Amino acid sequence: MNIKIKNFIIAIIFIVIYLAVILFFVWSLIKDIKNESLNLVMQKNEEFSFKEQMFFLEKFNQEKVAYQEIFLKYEEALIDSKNPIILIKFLENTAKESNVTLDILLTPSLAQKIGTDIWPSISMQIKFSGSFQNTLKFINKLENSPYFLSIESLKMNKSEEKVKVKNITSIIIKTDCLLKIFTK
Amino acid sequence: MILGIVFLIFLICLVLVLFSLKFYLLTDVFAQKEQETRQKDFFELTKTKKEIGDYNKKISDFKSFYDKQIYFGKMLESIFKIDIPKGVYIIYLSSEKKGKKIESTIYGYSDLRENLILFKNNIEKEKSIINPYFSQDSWTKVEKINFYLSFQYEY
Repeated sequence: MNIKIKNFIIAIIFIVIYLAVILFFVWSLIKDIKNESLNLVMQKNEEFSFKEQMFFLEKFNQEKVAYQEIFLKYEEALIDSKNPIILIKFLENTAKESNVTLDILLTPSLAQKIGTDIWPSISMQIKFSGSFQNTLKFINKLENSPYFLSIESLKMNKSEEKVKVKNITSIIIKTDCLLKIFTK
Repeated sequence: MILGIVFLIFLICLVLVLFSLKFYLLTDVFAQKEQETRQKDFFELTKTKKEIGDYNKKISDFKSFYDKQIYFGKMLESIFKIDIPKGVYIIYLSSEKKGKKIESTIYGYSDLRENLILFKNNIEKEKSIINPYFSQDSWTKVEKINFYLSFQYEY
């Protein structure tokens, strides 16, 4: 009887020890491992995304030089409203190349952003005259200029004057044109 | 008793294995954290992201400008591509940008009404010219006609 009680007590003690070990060590360790594994997976994902972004960053930095030149050209395409001399020179040279005579009327005004426009703009009135072909050449060059400008209105008049180029007589067309010049 | 001790040893071994696994994971997580907080790279990334954002805005601005562009040169080419009958002359042309269209008016002269009708028919064949309208008094005379034409241009 005594041995039976003794064995029973020992068994109870072992069970208590097992439960204590399982509860205080095994259980909490499994919980910790589960949390840390989740953390690790999350961090691995974040690191992957970070590395991917770093890869694109390096690629961007390598190709940036080429882009910067293009963007610089675009920025130069916006005229300085206080000093539009570059544009005036461009207009004069284009008129010369297109064989039209040009008058520029620049009314002093502050650059303003109109409606849904992206940049502020100033207006410029130009008058030019030449044969129809040359007038068209000049207009096309204006519209494909390296500057951000747009023609707002155009008035063309047939004049009495005539011009003779290579034995062909052409009527002189007088044009009034309103330009919108986008500025910095 | 022996079985009890064996099972206890197994439990202790399990605890030790779990402990080592936990410490392995902890060191890995710590190493990851250290790698991630590379301040320089992170700063560089943020700076470049801002730079890319600026470039994207510029691209969208430039695109928007070119989308809104209307070319008067193309309109003039379209008009003067039309077959203008002999005896019909364009004296004055006025054009103005209105949204995505160009509104134009033409004053001209035609020697005969038939030639003006021919010109009207040719104008109506040009697809980029919308709503061509000849004023009513353009048709009242049989000859020596001063006509007025209005239309919209879109391409």
